[in-house]
Amino acid sequence: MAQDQLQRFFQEKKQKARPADIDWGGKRDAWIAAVDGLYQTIEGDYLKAAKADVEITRRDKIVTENCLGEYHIPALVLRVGDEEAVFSPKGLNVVGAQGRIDVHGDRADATIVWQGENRWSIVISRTPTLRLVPLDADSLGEMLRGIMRP
Amino acid sequence: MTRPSLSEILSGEQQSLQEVWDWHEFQRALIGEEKSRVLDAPPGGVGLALSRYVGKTREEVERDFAYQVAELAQVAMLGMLASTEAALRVDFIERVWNKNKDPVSRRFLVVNRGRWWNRFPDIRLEEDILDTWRDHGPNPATRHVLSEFKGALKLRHWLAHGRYWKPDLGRASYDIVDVF
Repeated sequence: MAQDQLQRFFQEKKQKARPADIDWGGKRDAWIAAVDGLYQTIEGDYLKAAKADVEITRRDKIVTENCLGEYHIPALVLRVGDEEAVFSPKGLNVVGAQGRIDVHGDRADATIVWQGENRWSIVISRTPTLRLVPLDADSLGEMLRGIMRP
Repeated sequence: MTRPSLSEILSGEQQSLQEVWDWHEFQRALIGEEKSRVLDAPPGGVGLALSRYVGKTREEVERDFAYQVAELAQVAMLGMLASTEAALRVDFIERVWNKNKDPVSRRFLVVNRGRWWNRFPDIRLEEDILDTWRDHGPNPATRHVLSEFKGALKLRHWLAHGRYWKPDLGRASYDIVDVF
């Protein structure tokens, strides 16, 4: 491969790795706002009836991602008795979704993906087929029962 | 009892070293193509073909594919060592069957004495076949190769028996090119 061809090849790869026409700052802000919106829905709607029994707090989390660098985003902590379930945003640069939150419990972990706007889904399985369940009060309760101690 | 023909003894299904290598290269290319497909996919949108990767970060995808490549190499190394063993054992059987007169074949006949044709698996690879080649082979230079192969047999043993112990291999580590 001639020198100029090699140079073009590298330039194309660099361009592909970080397309200039993407507003990374805007994507990051939209992601943070979406996460905040989800937390408000969980707190104000999905857990409304159970509010007296659960302590809800937010913790600051620092996430580092390609093209975005380091940014702050809140994790949501549900404390019930001596146990916590933590909603921990993983990032927005994920395959097949606009972002992902990992939910850690004492018994297991779960994954929630953001599919844009107010659409969030729980990943039930990836193989042999993808099973996503829209996040709502029922599916949230089911998920928490699965990841917290019985 | 009538002596069976070679076609009755040998399956002919053993792979050559080259066939195992070609298989590895094919699978390795598929993994590489799949990795490119996933990493080059436009962000967002859950396509059916990408379902197994949904929600994974680039680092997680890379880790998944690195695992696939490493496991493929382990299986391919086992296949290569097994195919080499098969080649050596088929050579043993053919020499005994043909009653060749060269020193290696004569020694094989002694080793095999009294064994019926269905007992070839009892022949020991290292003591009966490799040591015969080392002591009676026409080319002393092959001794080094035999020694290397014996070392690699520890790897084969480790791979074939489930890798559950800390191996004392013939060298610090093997990769697929070393084994090939």
